[in-house]
Amino acid sequence: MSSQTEHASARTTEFEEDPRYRIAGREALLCFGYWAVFTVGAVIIAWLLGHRDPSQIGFIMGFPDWFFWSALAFVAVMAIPVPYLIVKLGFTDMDLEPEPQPGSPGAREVKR
Amino acid sequence: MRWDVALPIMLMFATMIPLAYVAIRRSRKHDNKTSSYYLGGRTLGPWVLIFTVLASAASAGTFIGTAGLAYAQGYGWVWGAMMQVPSAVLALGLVGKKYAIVARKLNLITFTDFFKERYESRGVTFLTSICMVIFLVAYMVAQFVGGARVLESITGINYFVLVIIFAGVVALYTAFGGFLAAAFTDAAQGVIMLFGGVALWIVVLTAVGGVSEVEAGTKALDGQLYVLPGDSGFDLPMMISYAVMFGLLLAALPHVSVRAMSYRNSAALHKALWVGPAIMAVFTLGFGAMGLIGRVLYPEAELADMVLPTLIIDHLPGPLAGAVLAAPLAAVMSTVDSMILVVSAALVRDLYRGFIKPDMSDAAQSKAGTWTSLAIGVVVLVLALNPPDFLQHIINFAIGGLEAGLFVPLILGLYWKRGNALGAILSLLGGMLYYLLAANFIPALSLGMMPVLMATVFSLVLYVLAAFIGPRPSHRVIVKFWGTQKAIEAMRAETQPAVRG
Repeated sequence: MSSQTEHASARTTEFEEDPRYRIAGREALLCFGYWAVFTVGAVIIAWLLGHRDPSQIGFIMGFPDWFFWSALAFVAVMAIPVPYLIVKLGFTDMDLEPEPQPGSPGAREVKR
Repeated sequence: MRWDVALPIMLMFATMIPLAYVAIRRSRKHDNKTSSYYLGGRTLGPWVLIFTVLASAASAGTFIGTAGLAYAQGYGWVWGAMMQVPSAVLALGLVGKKYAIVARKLNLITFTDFFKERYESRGVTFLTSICMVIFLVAYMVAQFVGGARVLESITGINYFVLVIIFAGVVALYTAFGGFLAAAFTDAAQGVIMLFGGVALWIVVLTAVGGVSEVEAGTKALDGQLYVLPGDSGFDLPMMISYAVMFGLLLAALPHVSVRAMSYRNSAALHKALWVGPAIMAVFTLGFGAMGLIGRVLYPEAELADMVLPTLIIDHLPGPLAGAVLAAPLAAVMSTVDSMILVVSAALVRDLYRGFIKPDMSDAAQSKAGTWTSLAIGVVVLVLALNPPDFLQHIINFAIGGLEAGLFVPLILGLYWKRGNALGAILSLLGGMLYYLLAANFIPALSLGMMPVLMATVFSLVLYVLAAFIGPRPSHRVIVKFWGTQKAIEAMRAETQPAVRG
C-alpha cells in the first residue's frame, strides 16, 4: 500500500480519462453555485430588511417581514422550482457502473 | 405518568422492528456481505435516499435546540437553522456522481475507504478513523441524553429506563439490520418528522387563535427578539458562518456523506436533489419557529429547551401530542443509527482490518460489523446513563471539528489532481486544531466569524500549500481516480498483480 511507484509520478504515462467525470464536475459546480446563490440571497434580504429599529419591522403572516421574505418566500423559491429546474436542465442521466453501457451518456462512444 | 402520550411513542419504537426485519431479508440477497451491511449494496431509490440523508443530517438540535434558542434569543436562530435547507443538494451533489462512480470502480464502502485509496497513507487512514470514532460516539451520547431528558419530563418515565429502551432499540435494529435497516427506519422517521412539523403548526395556530394573534403577541415582546442582529447576535459574519456550517460543510460529515455512494442510479440522485430542499424546509421551520410562539405563550419559562415540548403537551390531546413528540425522537434515532454504522465501519474495516488483520474475509467483516455496532450501541448507552463531565467538551467540539478537518481533503481530493497525502494530513490536523484553539482558547482566531469557518479556510490553505511543497500523487492514484475502468485494469496488470484488498 505504500508509494512504491514514485518514479511514475511525473505524468509520463498517458491514460484514458473517464469522460463522465467532466460532466460530474460540472454538476458539482452547479450545486455549489446553487448554495452560493441561496446563501447570498437569503443573507442580503434578511440583513437589508431586518437590520432596523424594532418599530420599523412589519409583520406578514405572524412573522417579522425580513424573516418572511428571506426564510420563507425566498427559501420557497429556492427550495421548489429552482432545484427542479437545475436538475432538469443541468444534469445528465448517466450509467454509474464502472463500465457504462455503450450508448449511454458518458460512455466512450459518445465522447467523440 | 402520561400513558396517553407515551403510547404513540412506544408504537413508533415498535414500528422500527418490522422495518428492520424487511431490511435484513433484503440484504441477505446480496453476494457481497460487507458492502450490503454498510451500504445496502448501493440499491437505494430516491425516496429512501432523500429521507435517509435528511434525517441523518437533522438531529435533535433541529427540533429541540433551535426552538430553545429562538425562545431565548429570537428569530435570528430560526433564520440560521433555515440555512440547512440546501444541505441535501450539498451532501449528495458536491461529491456527486464522481463519488458514486469511483466508489463502484474501487469498491469503496466506508467513508474512510475514500481517503485510504486517494491518499494511500496509513497516517491519513488512521487519523480519519480515530477522529470519527471519538467525535461521533460523543455526539451520539449527546443526542440520547437530549432525547431522553425531553421524554422523561413529559411522560414521567424514569430516565434510566428511557435511555435503555431508546438506545437499545436503535442499537438492535442497526446492529442486525445494517445500512438498509437504518435507511428504511430513517425513511419512516423522516415521514414522522414531516408529519410532526406540519401537524404542530396547524394545531398550535388553531390553539393560539391564528396568525393575527401570533403577530400581536410577538409585537408585544422585546423588539430585540425580532430584529437583526438583536439578542441572537446574528450580524453579517455570523449569518455567513451559519450558512457555511449548516449548509456547505455538512457535506463532509461521514454519516451524511457515506449516503452519497448508496443510491441505485442517477435518476434516484436527481429526484433526491430536487425534492430535498423542500422537505428540509418543512423539518426546520415546523419546530424551530415554534420557539417564538412559545415565548408568547410562556413568557417566563425556566428551561428554554422545555418550552416546545411543554407547548405540545398543553395544546394537543394526549395521543396527538405523543405523535408530534415522536418527531424529535425520530430525529435522534435516525442520526444515531447512521452514526453507529460509520463508527462501526471505521473500527472494523479501517482500523482492525487496515492495521491488525488485513486478510479478513467478507463474511468475517460483516459478522464483526454486527457485533461491533452492537457494542457501540452499548457503550453509548452506558455513557448516556451517566454522562461524564469531559464528554461535554468533546461534544462541543465534535461536529465543528469534523467539518473543519474533513471537508477540504474530501472535496479537493475528489476533484483536484495535485492534492496529496501531506496536504490531507496537514489540513485534517490543522483544521481541527485551529478549530479547537479558536473555539476554546483564542477567540480572536475566528476573526468575528464562527470558529469553524476560519478553521476550514486554514485547512484549505494548508492543503494547497502542501500540494505544491510535497510530492505529486502517484500515477496509480491519478489513474484510479480519473481513469476509465479499462485504464485502471491495464494499470493494475502492469504493476504487480493483486495488491488491492
